[in-house]
Amino acid sequence: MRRDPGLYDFAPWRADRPRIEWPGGARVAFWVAPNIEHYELTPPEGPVRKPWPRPLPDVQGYSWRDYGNRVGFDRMADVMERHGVRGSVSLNVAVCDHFPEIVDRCVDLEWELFSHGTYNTRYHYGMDEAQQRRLVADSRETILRASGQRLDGWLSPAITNLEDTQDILAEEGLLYTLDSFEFDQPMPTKTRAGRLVSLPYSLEVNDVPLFSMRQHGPDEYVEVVCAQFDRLYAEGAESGTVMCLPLHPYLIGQPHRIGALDRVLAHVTGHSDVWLATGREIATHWRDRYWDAAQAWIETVNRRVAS
Amino acid sequence: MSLDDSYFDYPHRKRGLDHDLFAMRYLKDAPRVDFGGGTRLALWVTVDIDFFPLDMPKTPFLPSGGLGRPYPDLWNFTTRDYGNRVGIYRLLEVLGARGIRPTAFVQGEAAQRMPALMDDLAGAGAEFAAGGWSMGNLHATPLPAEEERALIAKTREALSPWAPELAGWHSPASSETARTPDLVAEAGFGWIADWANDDMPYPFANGLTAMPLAHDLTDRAILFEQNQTVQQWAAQLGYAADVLLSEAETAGGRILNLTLTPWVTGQPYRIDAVAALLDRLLGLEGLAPRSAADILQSCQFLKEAA
Repeated sequence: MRRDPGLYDFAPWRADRPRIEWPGGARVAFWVAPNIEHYELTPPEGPVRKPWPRPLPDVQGYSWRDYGNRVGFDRMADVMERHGVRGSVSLNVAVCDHFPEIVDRCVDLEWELFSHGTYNTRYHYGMDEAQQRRLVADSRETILRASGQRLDGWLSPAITNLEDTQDILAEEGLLYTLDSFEFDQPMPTKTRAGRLVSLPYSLEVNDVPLFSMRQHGPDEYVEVVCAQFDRLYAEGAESGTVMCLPLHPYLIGQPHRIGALDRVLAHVTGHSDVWLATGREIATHWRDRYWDAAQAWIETVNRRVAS
Repeated sequence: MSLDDSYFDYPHRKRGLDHDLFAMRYLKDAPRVDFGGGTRLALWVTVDIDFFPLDMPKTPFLPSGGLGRPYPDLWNFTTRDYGNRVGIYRLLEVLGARGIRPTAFVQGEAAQRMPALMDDLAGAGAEFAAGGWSMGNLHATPLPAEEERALIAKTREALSPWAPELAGWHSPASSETARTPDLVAEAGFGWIADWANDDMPYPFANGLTAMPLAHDLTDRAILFEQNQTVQQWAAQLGYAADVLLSEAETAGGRILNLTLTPWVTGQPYRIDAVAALLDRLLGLEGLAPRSAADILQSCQFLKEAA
């Protein structure tokens, strides 16, 4: 076992970090990541984590998630469409097979599709390297077939990544990973090959932690998410920041919560210096312009001290 | 079924505490403290620079914020690490803008891994104290004495380039073995902040001084463990300040500890509330920021006890 992930070196949130400029002079690159998932009714148990807390079939857990696809998704997509905010879909790619109507609407809305594994009930845990490559290949082929899009981004299903997952993603030609949460701007990932961008996702302003773990109500959700935006917008005047708003239709698409999303998106789009982007757009813009500068700066930060 | 008669033996049943680490003292009987300059309430701001190793054990218990998901728990590792890379810099900015120099409890492995952060903390005028080696190295029974002694020694060593005169100790997660206070004293520390039993400093029998961290009022307890909102956390610090200031009218100086955990209150959606709270506290008449060294300097009774 490793003492640390070995995926990045120390980098401080200091004013001397390279200045990032987003298109149009935006202060913050704001992107929305709807998690469109399918949890199987009768998944295999797997070696590490039981997919469901209750004996199968876990009707309450299953049907709650299923609500997201039957009801919550369209409700959420309607609100996003009204605010002119595209999604970057964290997709369990088997949804392409089960519910092509959902994927078709995402494609019609010009949303990005990236992979969140095959099902949210199948984890990386226990996979060898070849099996993880098989998982990536399935995602690549399925997303291409369903949308014509290239697979550029990865969020491990249920965030169950292994020691070598990021190396594999980089070698498989992925552009960005969402598996680590250590900065509010894109950062380089140290991998065996390639240039895998660590793009900020969020477990702080994510509806699952906020509603299900912290047990906040919709009003507290709006307060937290808007405060997050306000601060990153202010700090973005110095160097462009990234704010991700992860969503889960089974939570945010509930009638008592959908208004919270409406209020949040009205707040965000009411600001002038916001880049409403997709994950792919942010990662590409940053990698093409700032990877080398970030790398050089990180080396300087850590070298100055070593001497 | 019934219990053995020995269950009714009470070998420590006597007046006072059931151990001899320190004597019982009711706060109402504590010697008066004068912070000088009209200060009745010392605001002691502390920040925790912790390292949560990816391979940290889940036994003998998982500390608050510990990596509880299956290995490798990148989710929790990077969320804690965010505090040392991003959150602490927001906190230092907010504190520095108000002229507050925090006490930084730094874990030895954090200092070793992030010397640039140590330079920045020193540059911000932080008062350094030791936070143990790492969140994966708890001082908890049955840790052998030699291992515990070594953890304390290497922590002191790792911090020494920035803090050659290290006086304060806080064990990771406030966990101690039965011998921790003696080993901390033996290693040359002057004060310890593990015991959550008082609002004011008090002497240990072995010569250490106990410093009062407000465990029940920390951002970690209220925001991370109890899932309250940042407004609720700030309000409770306000209530505490009001009560302590009022007690200080008659009882002498009081201390309000403000614990700031970088991965908790250094988040974008919380930092502005931290700034607003500090402005409110600093606006209270009779409240002023004090370091641990300042506070101990004002506690004349400790010198008399020694």
